[in-house]
Amino acid sequence: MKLNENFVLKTVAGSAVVMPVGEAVTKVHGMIKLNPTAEIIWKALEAGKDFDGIVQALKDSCNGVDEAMLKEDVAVFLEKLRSYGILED
Amino acid sequence: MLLSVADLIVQVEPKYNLLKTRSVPYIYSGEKKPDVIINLSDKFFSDRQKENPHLSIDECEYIYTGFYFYTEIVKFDGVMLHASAVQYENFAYLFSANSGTGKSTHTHLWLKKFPTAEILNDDKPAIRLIDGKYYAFGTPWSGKFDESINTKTEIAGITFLERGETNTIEKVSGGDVTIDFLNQTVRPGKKEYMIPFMEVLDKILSNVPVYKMKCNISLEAVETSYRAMKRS
Repeated sequence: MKLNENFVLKTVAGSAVVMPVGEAVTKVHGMIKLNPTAEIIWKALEAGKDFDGIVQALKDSCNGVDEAMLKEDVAVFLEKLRSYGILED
Repeated sequence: MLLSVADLIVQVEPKYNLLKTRSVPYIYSGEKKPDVIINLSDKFFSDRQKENPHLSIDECEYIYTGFYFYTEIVKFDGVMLHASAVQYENFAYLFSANSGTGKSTHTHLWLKKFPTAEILNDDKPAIRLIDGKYYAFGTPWSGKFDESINTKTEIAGITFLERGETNTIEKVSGGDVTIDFLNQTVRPGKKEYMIPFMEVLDKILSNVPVYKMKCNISLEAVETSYRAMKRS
């Protein structure tokens, strides 16, 4: 799993925002605001983590979450990223 | 010709009347080298005009040289905000919103309420961080009407406006208006500009007081915004 390099994550005044650049500007108009959970997933992807690595990163940051539910949510989010062309392969 | 805009030396050769006229108050005749060189071809403007047939070639030159300048300004700790900026008692008050909301109507009410207030830039002020302070600037690029003055004024605050029945204003955190700001500026298309752009945005929204306001068209609206935004 690899993030498309034409999407840039930056924290602006405490709020995580993903901006399209280059070719991606024609695919995604505007920008994407990430909530804290999505930000953890994004950073795990940036660090080259696989699916289990992402789930682990989330488990480390929030205690007592149901692992099955977490996996399902991560899968849904990754699918969404793929549909926008943000996540490649 | 050289212009001095937002404390930057800009090299540009206007061919058409609109940009020529609006540039006059900014002409620079000193010795400094240009910080920004705007060199867009005739073909570039005629291509833009084909894409936007409602614009004249004159307007295309004016608008796209503005976009160019406001993209380059990110290299100098600056951005443009689509806002009407009014200055009063040595501070600039910026009101941003979608076109048609009434930001210019609101700042023109300030002129009625405060006879010494002036419109700094009615549509597209430049904002720059210089020596730890945030300034708004008049520029040649100020929208439909030529309402801009060549000056530099420290920003008291930035307010994002919505229409309302009554007048209410709330101080918010920068993160609450990040998307509002991004919707009212020139977003760079290239990565090498996007990163410094987001960095300067982060600085502005972390340090300049920001507000959300609902207002009607009245002098009471001016009292509401002035009272909340004024620096003590």
